Parts: sequence; C-alpha cells; structure tokens
Amino acid sequence: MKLLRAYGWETRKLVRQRRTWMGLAASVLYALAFVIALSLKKHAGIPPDIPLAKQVTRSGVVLPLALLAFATFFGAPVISSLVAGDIVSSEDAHNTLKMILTRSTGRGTIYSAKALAAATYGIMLIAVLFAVSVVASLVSWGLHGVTLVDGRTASGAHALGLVALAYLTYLLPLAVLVAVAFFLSTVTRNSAAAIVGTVIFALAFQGVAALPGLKGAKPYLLPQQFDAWESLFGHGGYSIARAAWTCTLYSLLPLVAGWAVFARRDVAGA
Amino acid sequence: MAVVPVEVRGLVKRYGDLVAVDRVDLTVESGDIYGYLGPNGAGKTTTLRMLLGLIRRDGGSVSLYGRDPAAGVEALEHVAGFVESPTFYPYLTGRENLQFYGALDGGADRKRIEDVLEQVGLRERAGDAVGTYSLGMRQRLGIASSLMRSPKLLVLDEPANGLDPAGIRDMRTLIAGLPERGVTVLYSSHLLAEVEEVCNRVAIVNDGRIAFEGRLDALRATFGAGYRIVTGDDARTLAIVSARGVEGHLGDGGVWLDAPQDLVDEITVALGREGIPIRYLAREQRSLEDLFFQLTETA
Repeated sequence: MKLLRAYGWETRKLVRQRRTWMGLAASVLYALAFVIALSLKKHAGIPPDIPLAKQVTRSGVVLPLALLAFATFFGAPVISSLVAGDIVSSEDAHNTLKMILTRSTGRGTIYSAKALAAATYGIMLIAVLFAVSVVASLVSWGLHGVTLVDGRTASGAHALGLVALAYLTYLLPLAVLVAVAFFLSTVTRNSAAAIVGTVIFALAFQGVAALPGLKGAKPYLLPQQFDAWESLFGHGGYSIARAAWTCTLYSLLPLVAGWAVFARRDVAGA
Repeated sequence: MAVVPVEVRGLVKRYGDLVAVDRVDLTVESGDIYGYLGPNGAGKTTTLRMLLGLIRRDGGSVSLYGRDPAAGVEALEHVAGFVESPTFYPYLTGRENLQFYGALDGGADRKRIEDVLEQVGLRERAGDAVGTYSLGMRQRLGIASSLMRSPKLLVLDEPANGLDPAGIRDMRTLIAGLPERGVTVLYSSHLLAEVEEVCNRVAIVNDGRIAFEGRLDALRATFGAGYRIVTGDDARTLAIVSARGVEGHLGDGGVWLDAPQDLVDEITVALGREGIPIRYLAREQRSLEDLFFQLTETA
C-alpha cells in the first residue's frame, strides 16, 4: 500500500515536470519528422539493413520499425535518461530527500517507487512513439501486407500486431538504459551527469560489441538485445528469450548497486 | 520508567579528522521546549540530522521514545520536524506538497491539511506553486508539514529563519502553546531572546561538545549572576581581572566577572591605581546571550 501510494505520487510529480513532457514531445517529433520526410521525398528510403526497408513506402507498418532501429544509438539513451536520470538527483537539486526520509515511508519503498515511476515513463515513451508512428505511417501509406525477412507474407493486421510486439520487445533493452540512468542519478546526484553517463554507457557498449575478439559474446551484449525484435520478422540470429534474461540481468545490476548506495547514504543536504 | 522523547548518549560524528559532534549527551523530557544553542558550525544541525536518522553516527546512542532512528523510520512514528530550511517541490502547490508528504505518512485527509494550513496562515496561498513562496512562507509550510503528522516530538532547526518580526512572534506563540497540546519541542536557534522567552531547558554546544545542558533557571543560577564593570578601558580591565586569577569575560556592556566581594574590592583598587576610571559597577543577572558567549568563547 505504501509502495502504491508513493509510486502514485512519483508519477504525479513526473506529470507536473516540464522534462517529462519534453521527452514525450521529443518522441512525437522524432516519429513525425521521419514520416513527413519520407512522405515529402518521392524516392526516399531507409537503410537496407533495417528489416522490410524496401517496403517502407508500401505499407504503414514498416516505418515504426525503422524508428526503433534508429533510436538505439542516441535517441533512446537520451530520452529515457531525461527522466530516469533525474528522478533521484532532482531530490538532491531540491534538497527534498531530508524531508521525505523523515516521514513514515522507508528508503526501500521510496527507492522502489522511484524506480517504478522511471520504468513507467520508459513505457510511456515507447507507447507514445508506437501510437504516433503507427497512426502517422498508416495515414501516409495505409495498412497493407508485407513480405517478412524469411519470405513469409503477413497481412496488414498481422504485421501491425508484430510491430506492437516489436515495441514491447524493445522495452527490454530500454529498461536497461532506464536502470543505468536511475543508478547514475542515485550515485552522481546530478541529472546532467546521469544523462551524459547513460549515453556514454550505450555508446561504450556499441564499441565493445564491435571489438573483433568478442564475437562469441556478441549475442549477450546489450546492442544485440536492441535488435531482438527483428526475430519477430523472421530475422535469424536474434532471440527474444535471450533478450529477456540478459536485459533482466543488465537492469538488476545497476538497480541493486544503486540501492546499496541509497540505503546507506548520509542525507546532509546543502 | 517512562520513556523520554529524546535520549542521546555519547553521540559522535566525524568527517575525516574533524569531530563535528563530540560525545554529546542530551535528554529532552515530555513537555519540554528544549533550546539547542550554539554558534555556526558547532554541530547543532549534524546532531539533529543524526536524531532524525538522516546521517549515520560514528559512536554513541540515540533514542526517540525508546527507539533508535538508525534502525528505520519506525523510530520517527511520533516525531516530526526538519533540519535547516524545510524544502518542497517548487512545481507543486503548497497544498499538493502537504498531500505528498501526508501520503508518505499513510495519507492525510483534506480537513487535516486545511487545518494545518490555517494554523500557519497559509490557507489563502495554498493553491499557488511553492516556487512562488517567500522563504518565510516556506518556513511556515515546513511547520505545517510537521504538524500534519500530529507529532509528540517536534524537532525544528532554526524555525524563525526568514520570518519577519510578526512571523517570529507568531512562531513563538505557536511553539509556546505546543506543550499544552502534548507536544514536546526540540529546536535549535541562534535567536537567543527567542529561546530565553519560550524554552524551559537548553543545551549549549560549542565545537561539537556540550558546554551546558539543563534547565534555563539552573543555567542562570550557576552562571547567571555576576559583576558587571564598565570602565574607561575594558581590555585593560580584563587583563587586571585575569591577573588576579578571576575568570573575566568581555561581554555586551562591559566586563563580566564572578568573584567574591573582597576580590572585587581588590580589583577596583587596582583599576584606580592603573588610572582606569570606573563608570559602573554592580551585581547583575546576566542575559542568556551573555551566558552563551561566556560558555562558547571560553569552552
């Protein structure tokens, strides 16, 4: 009950903050910008390594997938950490932890409520990106069937269902970024450091994945999990199950480490 | 044996080599308005932080109604308060901030929130964002958020900070009336006149150590009366006093000393020999401010 109440207030606080809306607005603009650009340019396309790339202007279900692929490198870390990287450190900025921690709710509940609120924001981001990109794409190119990577065909409705599942799958690696941003927010007590740190973390993982000696480990590294949704479209080499357990592990590590810091932290204030 | 609201024994807090709080003992009993006094950097706020479980102690024990705040928020069940200035979310209204803090206490009903807003005179501005509040208004909102918990012990750190004279008077009236409602008050302040007016017990802390702890009237009885000499040269007077083995103190309005009559006679003769004119000499009751400076400057 205490956790629910604290979580309710954490989300309410997020709703009242400008950065929350900035993040959601950024994801709306991101989706619309792609749809408008592709609509305006007759022979425009998207990189061929993105599944179903050639069909992007033939069916409205393809562009939302391209948006997921593009978001991985920079957009997802920045936008997700905008809130997750601030949710603990903003208490430092406002010096409010000393007030919170003298009430009847323990540190564990506060920490959990904040983590849940940050995760909720991540889900909201994906939901908004899905809704805007699907609606705008369908308006532009209609709901038509597509040929999947393995040659199977899918009706428009079936393909749309797969896109929805792809977005749900994308929540797994996004949860890792949220957890890392949350951890950095707890440890650094500085929102900017948490956001930059999350971007560096994501880029560093991309760099590690590109190292030649780590080919065997690549399926277990974070970048691969961002592409796990491609398996839904018949792309071999990816696994949602593997993404589920690796991302759970990658998320738990920073959350537990953050808790170890938060639980023992002296709240001295300014 | 009744459990006292606050019992602190041998409390220690270190920051590297600096001992911020050095073996502090405090006992606050039910119904007390307990003043915790000390110059800036004496360790008052650090002590209060340990009392509220915000920072870990390096030694000693703290008990709030028999429970250790380091063990969890359960120890704060009957306790409310804040250290330094109370803080709020600037993007939420005053009322929403109270609702939020109330939610962390298990939920506060609307009537209770309106009652405490009324008590601190903030009801009309309760719908405005806290970001638009003055320091004094935030201070009053801090008191409201504490009272909302219906505490048996209220811990306040410089509650008059940022208040205008009328606000200070209102705060004093509010605090003075709390024991009648069963609330014990522990508060730190540098406004000695305020403390003198409302407190029945005080602790004076200096360099992390308690220089005095006890009833205000006991403080006065022990250190309170003394001779005040006003001369043409207070600095030389102090030297003459000290040369006779008497502990003198340069205070507000002359040199203060506590010595037997014959020794005081000897000092006046010596001052005359030195050509230092005596303009005033009388045995007087000393103010808390004078006692405070004596205790903190000689400790």
